[in-house]
Amino acid sequence: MRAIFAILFSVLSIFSVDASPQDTLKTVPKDSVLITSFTQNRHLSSIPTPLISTGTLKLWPQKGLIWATEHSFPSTLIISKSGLYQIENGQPKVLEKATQSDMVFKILSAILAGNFLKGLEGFDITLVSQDKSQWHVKLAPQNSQIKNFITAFSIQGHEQIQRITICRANGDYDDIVFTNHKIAPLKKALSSQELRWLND
Amino acid sequence: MTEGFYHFLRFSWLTLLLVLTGISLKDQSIQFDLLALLPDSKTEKMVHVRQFMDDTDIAKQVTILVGHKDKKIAQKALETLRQGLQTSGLRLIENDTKSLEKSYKALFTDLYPYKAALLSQQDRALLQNNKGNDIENRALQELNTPFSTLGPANLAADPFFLFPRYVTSLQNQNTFERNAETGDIFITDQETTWFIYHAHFTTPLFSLQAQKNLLEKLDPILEGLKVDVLKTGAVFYGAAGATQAQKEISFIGGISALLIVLLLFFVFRSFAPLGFALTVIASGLAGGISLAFLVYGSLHILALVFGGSLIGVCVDYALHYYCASLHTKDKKSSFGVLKSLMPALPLGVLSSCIGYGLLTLVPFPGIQQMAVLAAGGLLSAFITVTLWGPAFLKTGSQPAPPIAYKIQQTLSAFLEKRKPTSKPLLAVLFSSFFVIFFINFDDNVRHFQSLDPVLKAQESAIKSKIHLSTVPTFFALSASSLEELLQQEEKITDQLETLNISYKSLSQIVPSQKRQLENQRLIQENLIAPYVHSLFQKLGVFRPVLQQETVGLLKSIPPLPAPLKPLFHQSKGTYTGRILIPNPENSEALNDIVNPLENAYYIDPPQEYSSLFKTYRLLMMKVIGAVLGIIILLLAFLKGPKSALKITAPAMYSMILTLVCLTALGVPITLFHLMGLLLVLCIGIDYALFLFWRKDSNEKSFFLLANTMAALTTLFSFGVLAFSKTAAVEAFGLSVFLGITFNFIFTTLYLGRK
Repeated sequence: MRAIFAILFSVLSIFSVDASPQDTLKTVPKDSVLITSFTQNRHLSSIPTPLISTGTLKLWPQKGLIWATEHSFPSTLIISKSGLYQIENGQPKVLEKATQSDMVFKILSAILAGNFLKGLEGFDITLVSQDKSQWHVKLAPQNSQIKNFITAFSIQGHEQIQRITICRANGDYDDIVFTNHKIAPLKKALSSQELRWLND
Repeated sequence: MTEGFYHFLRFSWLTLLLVLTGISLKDQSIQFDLLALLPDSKTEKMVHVRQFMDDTDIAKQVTILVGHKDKKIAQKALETLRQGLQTSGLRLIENDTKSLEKSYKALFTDLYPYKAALLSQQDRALLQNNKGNDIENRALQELNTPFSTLGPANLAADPFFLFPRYVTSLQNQNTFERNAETGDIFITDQETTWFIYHAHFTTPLFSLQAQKNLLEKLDPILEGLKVDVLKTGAVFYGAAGATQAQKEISFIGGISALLIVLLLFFVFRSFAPLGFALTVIASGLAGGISLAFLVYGSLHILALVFGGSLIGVCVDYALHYYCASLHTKDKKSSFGVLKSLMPALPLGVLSSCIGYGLLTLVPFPGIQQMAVLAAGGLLSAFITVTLWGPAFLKTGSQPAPPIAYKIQQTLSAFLEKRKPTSKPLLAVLFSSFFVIFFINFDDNVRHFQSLDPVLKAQESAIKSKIHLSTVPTFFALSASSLEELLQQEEKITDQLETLNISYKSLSQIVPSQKRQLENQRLIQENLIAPYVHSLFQKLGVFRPVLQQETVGLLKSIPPLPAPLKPLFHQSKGTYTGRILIPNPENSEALNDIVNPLENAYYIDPPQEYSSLFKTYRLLMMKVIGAVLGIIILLLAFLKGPKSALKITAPAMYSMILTLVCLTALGVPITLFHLMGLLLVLCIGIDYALFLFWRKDSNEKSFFLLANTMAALTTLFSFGVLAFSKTAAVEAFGLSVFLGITFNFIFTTLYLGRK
């Protein structure tokens, strides 16, 4: 689960200027925030139709991520150095302490720096396909602990990350599509409250 | 009595002493457990403290963190530490964290079939307040986010994620990362990776040698790692304390011994008095310890230390004997010198032995052992003085050494010139009222701990990084059946929930059957019936198929992981549960919870030990009063009440003035101060007895000199302890230092003139 955070953070900040991830990857500038809309389809084996939710994601590299679901069930999740939180009545409530924050943010930094294709600790990277308009990368965890929950990440993109598919060990999978990418300066992108959430 | 028979007695006594010492010390056993000081009718609370300490083995636990900014270097350091400890010979076994994870997994696997009756406290409260809608919304959020913390969805068996939330509510605060290759656990704190080494000793390290051994072997290993190292554990504090104590024993003891040797040689110009004093002390210790071991089979370390210190009185017998020999012509006669010390010397021994003897009636093993040891030691010393005294004296009549003569004459002249006045005594009486109103007592066991500051800082640093098990306060409940115990626990935990006090209890893991039935009802009536169809409809499932539960109630305790085992103790048909309170803030509120219940106690282990100290302090106050009373009665029987008060007044006043001074200095009175006052009383009475019963004037006798030498040797041997950094020893030494000084002054002023 924690690897999901890492991968999610990292790949969202990847820009491709070419069909190849190496050529297209761009880092989010310092003191800038990546803002994107997402549509998530959760395919659970016990439910015949996928659970669909939409919302907005804000990524501040090296600090954290705000996952704000607007539909179908509004909620705001914060992933920062200190852990995973859910916002209730404007206050962050801890769901999980960031005991593996070191791993999460190392992966995050590697991805944002554009180095994940040279080797990402704990993952095997495979380029599945590439053409002029899109590339497709697959990440498979080496760690047996992660493998018990996640079997693979599938990432597709061009200049921006367009799709992430998270494949789970029990057959469930999440299909997340990203649109409307924007890069904004920190002070414009995040409210003072959001800044506090990510800094604490 | 012929000289030949006298020699026979002398060597028979030596032989007897050696044989007794050999027999008694053959299978000696020294106890260190404070609970062994308590009478057989131990308080229930102390029994629970003891059981808890045995069940948790906290005293044997060790935690070492090795850290470095480079994770690989930190990992390597851990491996080096492990190898070093394996070859060191230390009986240290690493805690198996992997099997601990497995044991938790096994526990939750055992509990899973009963999930329909298991609820986290938070969910139970929501259902009791008809807030099932909140649980439904929470489940929907959980299902709609990719960042699930409760594991994969199991909609058929547990659509509302009740069991995962129950499991989460029970889990340890610590969640470490695990190195995928080695399985070692670590945490990351401000860019430094800390690998954690948890271990325990197979036996508690109580002896000084074992603790010294630990530091000698472990310190080089830790220094050789070349990384940041933090360590904590009761054994380290004990070892640091032992090292400190040994340094002090060597330094203070060395200074003390040197001063005494120099004093005796300077005054007497001979090593004979020193040799005689050491012989008397050695015989006193041998006789006292042998007798105590023969009577009790084992001795507590505190009884050994304090009983042994009481035997220090006997050095005064040797000094008085030697000083008396200075004005005795027939030194080599068996009773030549002894006659001049009658009846003061045997009376001093008798009064002390009777006083100590009566202490054996007190039902506290520690006091009884100390009494037998001290009484036996004084008696043994007296016999040695009587039989071996002449062997240390020079033959023929010889003048007193010049310094000795000068001291005696100076004191004598001063007393002759001094006008008798009772003003100092009145001042003491007046100041005693001050003592009564302002005196403070301190029984807090924590104040007697002189914890090494470096270790304390390391412990704080470790606690800032990981949750560390320390001795919590806890509720202890006993019952004759598991169901009764769990229901009792739930009465308490419900109140703790109301007070928002965090806790850990057996009933959180295994609710009572009554509670399980309630949970089943709450889940069915307040959650499943009103909300399950709504939940599935929102998920797009219009014909939900739910698993039917066929398993009954959980009626026994599954195997518990090691950290949870202290929550339950069963022996001899009694079930004992413990509700641990990690962060107690309001002891009164916690005590109020348990007061109406039977067989239930709120226990604060340090507080219980403090209560034990208070009990002993109060007892010691009574002991001092009793010993003083017995001595007064004995003297009144022999010489009348007026003389009895005259003899005992200096000792009484010196004890009062000691308390006044300590109170004026803002020093709260502790058990150890009172132990010192008991010594002051026993020694002080002897000073008075020798002066009161002397037959010759000051010009012809050397009793003033003897008292002076006795006081100085006592100050050099016990008074220097006031400079110790160990709180208990410092208190004892300070009390003796002040008490003996005042006692010498009062005795000389009011009984010094013949």
